[in-house]
Amino acid sequence: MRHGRLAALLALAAALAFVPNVQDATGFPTFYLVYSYFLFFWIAQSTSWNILSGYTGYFSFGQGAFYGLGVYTAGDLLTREGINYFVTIPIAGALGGVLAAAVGALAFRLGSLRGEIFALLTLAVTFTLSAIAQLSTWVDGGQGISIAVPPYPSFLGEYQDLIYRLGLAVATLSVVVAFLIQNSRFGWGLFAIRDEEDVAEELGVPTFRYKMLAISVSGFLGSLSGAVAALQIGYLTPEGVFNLTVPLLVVVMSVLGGRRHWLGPVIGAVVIYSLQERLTNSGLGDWGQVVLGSILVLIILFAPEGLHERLRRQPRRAVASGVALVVATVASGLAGWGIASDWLSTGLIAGTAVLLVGRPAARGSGKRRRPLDASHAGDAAVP
Amino acid sequence: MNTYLQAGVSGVMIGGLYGVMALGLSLTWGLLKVINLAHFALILGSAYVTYQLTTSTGVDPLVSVLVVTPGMFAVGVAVHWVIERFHVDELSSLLLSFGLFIVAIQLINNIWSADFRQIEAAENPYATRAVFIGDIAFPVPQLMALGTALVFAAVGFYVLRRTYFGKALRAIAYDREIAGAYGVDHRRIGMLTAGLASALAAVAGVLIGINQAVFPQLALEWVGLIFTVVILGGIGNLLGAVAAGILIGLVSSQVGVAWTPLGAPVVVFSLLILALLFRPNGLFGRLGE
Repeated sequence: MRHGRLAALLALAAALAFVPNVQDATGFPTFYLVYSYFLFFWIAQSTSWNILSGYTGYFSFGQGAFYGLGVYTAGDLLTREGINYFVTIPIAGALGGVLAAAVGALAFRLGSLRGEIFALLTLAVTFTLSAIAQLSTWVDGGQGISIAVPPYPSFLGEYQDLIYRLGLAVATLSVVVAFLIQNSRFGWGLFAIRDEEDVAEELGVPTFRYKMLAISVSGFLGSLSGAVAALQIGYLTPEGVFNLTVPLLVVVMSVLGGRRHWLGPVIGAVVIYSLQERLTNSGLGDWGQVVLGSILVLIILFAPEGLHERLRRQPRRAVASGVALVVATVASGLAGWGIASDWLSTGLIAGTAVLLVGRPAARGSGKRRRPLDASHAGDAAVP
Repeated sequence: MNTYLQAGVSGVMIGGLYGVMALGLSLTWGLLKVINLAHFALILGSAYVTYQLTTSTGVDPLVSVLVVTPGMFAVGVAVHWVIERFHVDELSSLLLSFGLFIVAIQLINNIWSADFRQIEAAENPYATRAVFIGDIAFPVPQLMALGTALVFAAVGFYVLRRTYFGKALRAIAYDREIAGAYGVDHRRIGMLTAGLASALAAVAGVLIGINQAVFPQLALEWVGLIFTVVILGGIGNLLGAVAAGILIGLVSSQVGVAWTPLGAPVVVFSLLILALLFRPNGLFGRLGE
């Protein structure tokens, strides 16, 4: 079962890697490649966040630090030092892991640093990095850095194909890592830390070591994805890179999708990014943040367990909303439909959202709910 | 030397403004266990209302206190009612209020645009006035901020220590169940406190409106700074919040003169990291102990 799912995941990723070739052959709009890249980016970022914050319960507002470190490491090494871009990606990942380990080494030594204090510490780290980027002329110094197209092997296709494939690779790596962690003894330990850390420690879970490992993996993946994002952004500024978009959106995505399962952040990333992209394209960009904020409020109040948990209880709804989302995405890219297609796809996504959230599961809908223990059985299965 | 002194004086007064902004946040976080990110949106909203009221009607900007304080009080009560109704815990309150925060900032952006807005000097009787002691200038708007901070911190401290309301509130903060068993109505006290905290945000907003130009992204800049003030001051410690605000203002101004204004955030956030690691209860302890 576990190997089957992993194989299916890898097969899907391998198939997706050939989408640019299909695009060359059939000439469907490049829009889909850009759109997919951003999906991959948000999947990677929110999965990275979830490995630390969802699995261990240590809430981080510092995803922007890992992301920004990755972006600037790749950007600086590429443009200022002339290092091969493909070498800068693993360097960025490693630096992200080191930064994360440093934060963890400080934070996890102190038992008092739980809950909101940890969250604010990570936020402070992000602000500090941002201030350093403003200040240091080597990192940026307020001038901004523009990234030229780096040389790369021709079999990777056009520039947008390259970005798409790199994004896909990082997203796949992130999801596979999250999947493997969840289904391992390590993941089981992390869930124990989230549920009752002191008890976990008593029962022999090496909490410090596990937390260090989780934050390092999270930082590594976040920076790796940032290094790829540097190419897509093209022009880096401290305000653009270190703003609160990334740390906030990953939280919204993961909370919406569900924090207790590797699939949760993936669902959240797809739904939220699609929604945001649609709103922007329909000329409703001014209302994008209003919608996002309202979703977050409603989710916290009515479905704090997230969509994944809810959909698992209602599989038919899951299929219906999945189909609606795919139709909406395809419709949104069809050229020539103009405003009509924008409104159509926005409407479909809104409908999907209603379908997904539906009635509060806690109240009234007792008919189809399976007992809690059954629906949670897959959550923390020991291999 | 005079540069340092003048910068220090300005820093202390700006720090007073930070203190006013931090009071409400510190109050709800420390005593109600609600981390209210929307506090910054309430401050910004009140500043915009002050701007709008003064610009449209030409009244003294201070008059808008009469409008925004009750308004924000109502908003605070309403939000806290929802938090109580849905049993939102501390961490979820952070997410919930974050959602409200981004909604509010976007609405402000849609109403007033992303441009800078400032009350015209002609309509702002305080903007250009200053008191001089020797060569050192004390701008009136900043003096008002510092004075407000000191008065509110002192009143708040007294209320928490000496009145029934304050004692009941502290009892709830220590142990809600036991306080309830002794007849303390945590709902009413909680909503009143949330309302008062939001009213403090309104006062801070009026002061901001008088002091400076406003734009939607300003609220994001406050988040890190004011959280630093609240944590350094000790969560729930009102005197501490004002003292920490003054300290941060002073440090920022001195770093700005001695090094570069860009260096101030590095120093402030490094201070925050150190404080979180080694003094998570703040420099002065929590709850005014």
